[in-house]
Amino acid sequence: MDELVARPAWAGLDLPLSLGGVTLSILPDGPLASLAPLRGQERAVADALGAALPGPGRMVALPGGGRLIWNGLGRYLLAGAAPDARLAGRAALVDQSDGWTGLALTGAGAAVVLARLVPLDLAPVAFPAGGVARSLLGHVDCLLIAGTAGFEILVARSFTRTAVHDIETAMRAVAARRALPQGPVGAGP
Amino acid sequence: MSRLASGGLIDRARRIPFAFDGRRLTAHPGDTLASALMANGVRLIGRSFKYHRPRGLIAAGSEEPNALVTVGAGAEATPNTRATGIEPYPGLAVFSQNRWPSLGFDLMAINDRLAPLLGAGFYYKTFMWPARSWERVYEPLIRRAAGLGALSGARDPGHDEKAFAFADVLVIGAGPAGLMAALTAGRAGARVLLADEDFRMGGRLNVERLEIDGAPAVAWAAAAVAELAALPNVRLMPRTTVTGVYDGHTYGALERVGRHLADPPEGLPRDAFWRIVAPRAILAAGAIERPIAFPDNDRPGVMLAGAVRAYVNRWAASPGATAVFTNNDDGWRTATDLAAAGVPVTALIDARPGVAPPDGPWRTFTGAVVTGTRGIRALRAVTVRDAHGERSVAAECLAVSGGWNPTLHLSCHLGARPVWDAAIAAFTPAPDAAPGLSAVGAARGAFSTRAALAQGAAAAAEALAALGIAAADQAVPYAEDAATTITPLWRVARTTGRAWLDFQNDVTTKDVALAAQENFRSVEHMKRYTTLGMATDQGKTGGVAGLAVLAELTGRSVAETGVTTFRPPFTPVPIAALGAGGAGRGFAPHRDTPTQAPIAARRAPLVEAGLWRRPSYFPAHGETTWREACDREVAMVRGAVGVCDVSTLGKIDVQGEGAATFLDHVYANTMSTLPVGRVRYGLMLREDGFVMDDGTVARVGPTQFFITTTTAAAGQVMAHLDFAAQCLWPGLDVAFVSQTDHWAQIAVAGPKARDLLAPLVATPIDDAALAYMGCAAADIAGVPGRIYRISFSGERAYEVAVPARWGAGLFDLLVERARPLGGGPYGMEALNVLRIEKGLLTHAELHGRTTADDLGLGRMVASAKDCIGKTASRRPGLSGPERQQLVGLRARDASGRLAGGAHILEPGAKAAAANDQGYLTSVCWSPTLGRDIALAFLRDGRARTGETLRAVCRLRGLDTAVDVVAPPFLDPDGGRLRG
Repeated sequence: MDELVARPAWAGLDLPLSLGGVTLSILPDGPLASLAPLRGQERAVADALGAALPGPGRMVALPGGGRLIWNGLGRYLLAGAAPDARLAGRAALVDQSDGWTGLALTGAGAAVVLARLVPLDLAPVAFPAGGVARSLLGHVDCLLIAGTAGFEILVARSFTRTAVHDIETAMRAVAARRALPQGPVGAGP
Repeated sequence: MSRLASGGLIDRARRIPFAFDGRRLTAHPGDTLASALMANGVRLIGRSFKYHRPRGLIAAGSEEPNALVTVGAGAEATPNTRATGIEPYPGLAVFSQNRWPSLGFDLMAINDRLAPLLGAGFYYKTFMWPARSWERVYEPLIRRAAGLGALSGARDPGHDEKAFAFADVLVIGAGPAGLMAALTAGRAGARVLLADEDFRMGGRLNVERLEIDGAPAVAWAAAAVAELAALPNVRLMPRTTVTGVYDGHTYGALERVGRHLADPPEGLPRDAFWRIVAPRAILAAGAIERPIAFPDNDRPGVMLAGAVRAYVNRWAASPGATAVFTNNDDGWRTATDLAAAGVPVTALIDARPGVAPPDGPWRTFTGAVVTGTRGIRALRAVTVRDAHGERSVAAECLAVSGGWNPTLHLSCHLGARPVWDAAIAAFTPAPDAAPGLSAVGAARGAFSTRAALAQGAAAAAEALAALGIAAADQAVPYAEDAATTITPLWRVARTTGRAWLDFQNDVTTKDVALAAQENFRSVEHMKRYTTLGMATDQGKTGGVAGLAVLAELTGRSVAETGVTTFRPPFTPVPIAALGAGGAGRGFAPHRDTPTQAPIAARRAPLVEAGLWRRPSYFPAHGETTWREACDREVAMVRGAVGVCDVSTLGKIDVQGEGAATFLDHVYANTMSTLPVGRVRYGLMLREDGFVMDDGTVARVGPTQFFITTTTAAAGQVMAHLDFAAQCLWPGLDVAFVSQTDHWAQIAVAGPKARDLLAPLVATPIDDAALAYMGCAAADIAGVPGRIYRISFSGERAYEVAVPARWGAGLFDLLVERARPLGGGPYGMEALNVLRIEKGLLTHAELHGRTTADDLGLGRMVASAKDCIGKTASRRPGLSGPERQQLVGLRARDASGRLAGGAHILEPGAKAAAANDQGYLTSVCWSPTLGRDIALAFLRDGRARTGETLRAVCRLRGLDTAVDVVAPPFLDPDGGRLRG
């Protein structure tokens, strides 16, 4: 039997990339699954996970490791943990480990870069660490997670090159503003 | 017409060389192009739109109608840029516009001699006949003669950006009212965004000789800006024009980011178009002074009074010996400011009788008007008429003030109409004109500095209260609080000669009179008949004067006459900024298949399929056309085995106790009876009964299904399922999620497909284990995946699915192992030929206007259950012989050519719509049949098998005899499929 070689979505892309104090990198691969509690099973699912299901725009850390991320009406992403066997029959679980690409945009100017692409208020008062949003990254659907040092951006795998290209373009524009002699007026808080 | 020896907010120690029409000039940091031109004695800056009259500066701000220039040359050129908004940088090259051969000597100035012919409506009345000449002869000629700067026609090498911003309070304009509002809100901790058109914030405080709290107003403004800049919750956006107000507290704004730099950093955008969301906004945009109409009031040197003192006070640019003509007290300031700066003032002419203007080294006229001007390319003298008669007064500059119009445009963008205020003879914003927006200061008609400061503070306090932010009362600084005293004067009566209202579109009082005479008396009609207010400046200076003149001529009040509608944008926004990032690849995102790399390595040309790029064909050595490759690939699949990535299909996992019922609802045919391990073709209808999409449904477990959609309709189907589950059957226990990107799915088709796959699949795939339309979980080349026995080619075929990361490797492996079997990869062209030969459908046939019955699939709409679209599909007219039904067409002769989109006619029928029998949707050369074949929709088609008709394509000049056949063209009993 021939051994297949895995080709990650970001193969051929020059990452990580740092510009103007902002860094774009690939998040490490890990198990990722869609999780949708079946009818009347929300409590049982929460018990199996050991954590309450997060409300809209939120996520929770699971006691056994990994996170449960809100991802729409009655839908969640189980990230970084293999599904617990007790979830069987209680939740629709669908493997998405190869369906999404996780990007990390970190650094003090990460929100300024994303302001070129994402039509949401990303200031900490409006979108604090731990916040989750389904939104647009340019023309591309994305799932955005606010962290303490920046943002995690999940896009469907097939959009990886487009997303990286668009973020890189925004990073270059912001870095160029920072290089202006009078400082980044207009690109501020 | 020179730089004054002292004063001004310019850095005299540094010199900036720039060029105007090739003439080398010098500016200083702090200058605008306009101030630099004035300081260099350049008075003639452009030619007017229609009459090619010599024109110079009128204003100092974004309302400037005359001084439009082209910045840069070649592909980089930006035409129609206001000199008042350009910051000189070393090497800046600007060019005048609308003149030939030169600005000083313009042959088109003959239009000015023809002025009696060229009044409003001239074109409509003259260039009527013959009608076809309008587009071909008249319009190109007129457009060449009249106009502004031109685009280069070359691809724009610059780049811009779009961005989003959010604030609690958006303050529009950084004059006294705006600064005070921003300070009040900023000190309270609100997120404040302060936007101003200018590169230096301060507004009129930078151009007037005023004091605030006993200190120069310029210093107060600088201190306020410094304090705001130091607040972390305040964002200052200079060089930013708020251009529009939209629903949801959203504002559009254009920021000039890199246009003022000689050597911008790489990647710096030229402009940024911002969408700003702010629940509260404070409109502190100030006011725009208006001219007075009198004969030849457009000579270079006739300017607005407030602009003249702005050039003197802020830029130390002297306009030369100046006469002042005013109908209000504010105009006096220009005389006193100029005299204080050492600029000669020859006369102060006040239209009002009995007023007492300040004394100074000038002749004072009251109850006097200007009735004419002299000087061709520059003003030399003005004629003054008072009770004692007319006399000439020498003047290189005439500073005119007809009063001030609040800059209320933004307050009207959501439909509000402004309110006439007779006390200041101006329109003011209606209260609550736009949700969350309040106007303050001059923008609200309060013209004193003290009133601006007080209203700015008050509006900010009100906004903070509305936002629930506690704030301490702000002391309003002390400043002048002069009342506005004005007697309206729109045009000087009892004169002859043309008196301009709209300088940019060359509209005079005579044009307005002609409009009124011809009964274009509504202000909107007058606007369109005369073009008043329709130029790039949108009538900022001349609009109100124009409608006031119309009011006089029609015996109505200004309030009755009303204003035309103010619409976004406030100032022109380059399309390049609105569409930033949208050129080339940025127009739409690209989606890469998991096999993108191996397909690129095989040099396959790509074809767009929605956002995806799929291989068109795989060129082999010696092949020179796509047809050769396509024919070879078709023969390969029919004769051996072919490998094709089909990962772009929409893939949806559906689970839950209610999953089977849910699928029965959304598919026309029954899915609940599908056994585990089997696949069924499915047809989805829209609510109106027409076909939405088709695909396959695989039952992978008792309560789990895996469905596919066409590539084109994946998003539409997902939205449809969401709607059905959330709104139509919220009680069903069903959960579904897209898995399109997770799976790489590869089709293996051909008589040797099983031979290729069997060694790679850990479980048996013989016909007993995996019959046609079977599916199973399987290890594929060591990777857990799935295998489906389905076919889109009519051959024995399988689709194997593995997680996407393995897709490229699996494709390579399959292609490599297919070679010894006489197989290889195939692309979209061959895939299309294979499916047409087999009579299978794509969105060429499922184009939204076809029903299941049209497609010959009427029996798929199950009678024993209901589904979305079933009832509607039974409506009269959606089935039956009167409709066009799917048929196959074969070219009668092997040499007969068919074309997609061709129409079907009876033999001998004239090619006219009344004789139309149908149309061809999918066409190919069939290497298997050795002729062109097509899928088509033909009226009563199923009953017409065996008829000979014509396929006529007048675009390609084809008229080809075709035989009607029942699809498929190949293997109608499916023997090849089942093996």
